[in-house]
Amino acid sequence: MFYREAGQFKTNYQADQAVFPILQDRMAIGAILVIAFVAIPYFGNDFFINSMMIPFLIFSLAAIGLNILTGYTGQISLGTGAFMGVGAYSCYKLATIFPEVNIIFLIVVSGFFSAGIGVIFGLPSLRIKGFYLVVTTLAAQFFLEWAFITVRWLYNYNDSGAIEVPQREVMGVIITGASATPMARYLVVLSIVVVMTWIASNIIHGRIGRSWMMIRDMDIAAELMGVRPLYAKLSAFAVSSFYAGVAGAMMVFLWLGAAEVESFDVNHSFLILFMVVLGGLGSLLGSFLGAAFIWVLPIIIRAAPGVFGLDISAATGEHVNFMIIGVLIIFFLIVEPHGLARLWAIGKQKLRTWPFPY
Amino acid sequence: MWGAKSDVSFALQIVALKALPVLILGGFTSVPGAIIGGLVIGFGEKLFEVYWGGLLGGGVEGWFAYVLALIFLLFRPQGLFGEKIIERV
Amino acid sequence: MFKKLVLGAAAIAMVSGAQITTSVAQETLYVPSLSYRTGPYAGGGTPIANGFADYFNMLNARDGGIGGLKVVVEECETGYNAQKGVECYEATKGKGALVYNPYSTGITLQLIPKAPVDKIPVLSMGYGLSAAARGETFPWTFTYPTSYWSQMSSILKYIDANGGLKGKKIGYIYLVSGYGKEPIPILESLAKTIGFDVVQFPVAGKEMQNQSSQWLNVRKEKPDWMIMWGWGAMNATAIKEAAKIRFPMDRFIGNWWAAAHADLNPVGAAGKGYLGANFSGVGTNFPALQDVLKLVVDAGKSQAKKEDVGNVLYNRGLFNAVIVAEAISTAQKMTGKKSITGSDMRVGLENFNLSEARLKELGLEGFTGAIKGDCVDHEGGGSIFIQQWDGSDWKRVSDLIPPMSDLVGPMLDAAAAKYVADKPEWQTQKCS
Repeated sequence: MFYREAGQFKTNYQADQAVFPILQDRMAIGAILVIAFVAIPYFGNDFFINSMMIPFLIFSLAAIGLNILTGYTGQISLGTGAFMGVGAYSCYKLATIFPEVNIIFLIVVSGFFSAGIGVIFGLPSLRIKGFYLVVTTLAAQFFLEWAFITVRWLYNYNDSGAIEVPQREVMGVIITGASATPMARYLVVLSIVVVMTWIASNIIHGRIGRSWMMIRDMDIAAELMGVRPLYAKLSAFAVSSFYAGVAGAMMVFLWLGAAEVESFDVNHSFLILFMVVLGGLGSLLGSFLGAAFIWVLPIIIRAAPGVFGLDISAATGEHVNFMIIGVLIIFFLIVEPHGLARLWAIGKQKLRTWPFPY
Repeated sequence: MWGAKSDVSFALQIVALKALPVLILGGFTSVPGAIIGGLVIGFGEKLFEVYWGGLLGGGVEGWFAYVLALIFLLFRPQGLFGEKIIERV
Repeated sequence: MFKKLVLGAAAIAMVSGAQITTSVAQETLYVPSLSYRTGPYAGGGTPIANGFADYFNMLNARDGGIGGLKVVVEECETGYNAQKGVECYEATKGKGALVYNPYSTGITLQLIPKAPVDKIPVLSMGYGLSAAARGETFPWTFTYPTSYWSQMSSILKYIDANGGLKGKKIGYIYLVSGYGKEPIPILESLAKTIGFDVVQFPVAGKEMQNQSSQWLNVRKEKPDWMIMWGWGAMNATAIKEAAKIRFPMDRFIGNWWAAAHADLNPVGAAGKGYLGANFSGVGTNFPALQDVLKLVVDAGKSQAKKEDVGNVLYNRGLFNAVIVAEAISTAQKMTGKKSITGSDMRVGLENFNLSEARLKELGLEGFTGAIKGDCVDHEGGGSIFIQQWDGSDWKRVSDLIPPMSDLVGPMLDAAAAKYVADKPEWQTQKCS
């Protein structure tokens, strides 16, 4: 009843091509942004911001990165964890070599290192796809993991093999290191994620994004129509790794504060792949929904028994958690293989015709 | 307790992934290829670790099989004994 | 809509969760326990968490807590995962947490910079960052009763006392991770000072159950002694491989994460003679442990099986609880109030005195060496002893071995200085 586009006329081509053609959608986006930028920092407590919102946003960004590669270009990758690591380690090196440079700038720059590595390991994708590509990205994952341990220069010869985030200020506000307030870090993360999501949306709706989707849907046809697979695939690898790298740098600098190689292991590659598949391949909204599902839901389930006054041990809770999440993943994949984003679209369609569906 | 099942533990999930490079090396459609691929990777990574692992700081077994498969994919995507026809691009 | 629902539910959960816990935080002593009963290392994490919780439950049942206040141990499951560990930290720190025992070097490294900000000390009992043993640089981090570096030097001392060290060849087999690499600098520098050879045998984490090439190398190199820094399934595999190449077991020493019942039970008689470092007593032959058995385990209040009480890792968790309990009661005495804060706890950790007499009073005579809290020395001396596997159980075979403080000390100082070098804002303290 309220969600209906009747009476909204498109009077020029620009309006017809808009990403959000419906007024209500634009209002909803605005409302979400207001909530995210104003309400959450104002009302949220430390735990909510630190352990739910910041990781949720960071994983969403990594999921967007993988979605560009897997969802839009059709190239499966199991190396996301390692590409996040490249971003984190290069950001650490940059921050210690150039201590006076703005840290937000360095976080974004470190994405370029990750993009470079991503292109190198993306080269085989020109000849192979599917399962074969999984192996080459796994090679990237395991090789980089090994390099993060063995190349001691990467962590400044730290005896523990860990990277520890130095304290940095931007415009007088401490945003990295243990003294930074959760709110400051949250706002930085949120701004980066919003800007990069907006850029991703523009790339995807533009010429480059369309060439990716053509490669995904039928590579030979795309080639005949003038899409060069070399550029399309490597640019997808580059952009995807860039997003993963920035997410990794943010993960260490704005969330964890210190990291070992375990923070970038193959389990994280799987985790982000699950987010993308569950959220919806080829959907930016799906990346957010998938990250929320995989990261936030377990925390809520863990907190639930305490709220209802049940006393179960931490380990039992964790086992129950694994089972609930596992069952939900399988359930969603059977009921809606196109992911949560598709579910959302269906819901929107129903809402449009409600309450008179015929 | 991992003690009771120390030979079959959680770490095996990663080992299972190693079947992929073995298949690629031998060729997807060939059974003898899988056997020989397994032998080549098994021997190769041990020999590599024993003789050159030290030079690289050790622990190279973790990625040797995958990088070998990657090199194979670049130059001979059908593997050692696989059929020549492979889906291109 | 879905996202908003989730957020709404989360917000409700947060608010109500916070209310419930703040109401109990006032009149108890709240000790969070970052445990891992799930995941690949659950076999080691479970007995530690049991021992830790059972000791406090025993104190609650026998003495009514510490200083009249009950101790609340809340477990938070980390799965040995650093990210979940940070989440657990954030979830529990607001409830009046007194001290954190992360049981993972990865989580410890995350918590070290947070500790001074939130004013909650971290007790990484014999693991974590070795340099944290320097109390003037790390006021909020404690590594009682020793650090990895001190432990390595003690093990070398044991070797020296049993056939000499000079001119010998020492093999070092380790897990390729921060944990396994930590003692390498000390090993290499001592090799130069004392005059022995070191051969390294790294084991990649993914290959920990497949060590044939490492042991082929051991056969080739023929080291006189082997030292192992392993964890999880790596330990049993290494001991089996050593038995296969007939490496003399009484020349093979594991550090204290590589010398537990869980490691040797699957090996059984083949591991007879294998040596291990430890700092907490084995078995239940102590009055305090009898109390735990009587008041907690037999009363059905423990998650531990009765036969597991007294094994190496269970007793280590219990020993950790003993140090925490001592520090709490010291802090209570020094501040004169019953309900203490993290800052008081820090003072308690620097001033407790677990002397031989006090150990006897606690019912733990001979359980471990005397430890005294100190402002400068946050590792409390750093002594360990060596135990030996007799085919079915561990037997203590050496006295307490203090570390080579004269050689390790300067390296700890240098490492501590390096840690703060690029952190101009780092808070240190002066011990007069």
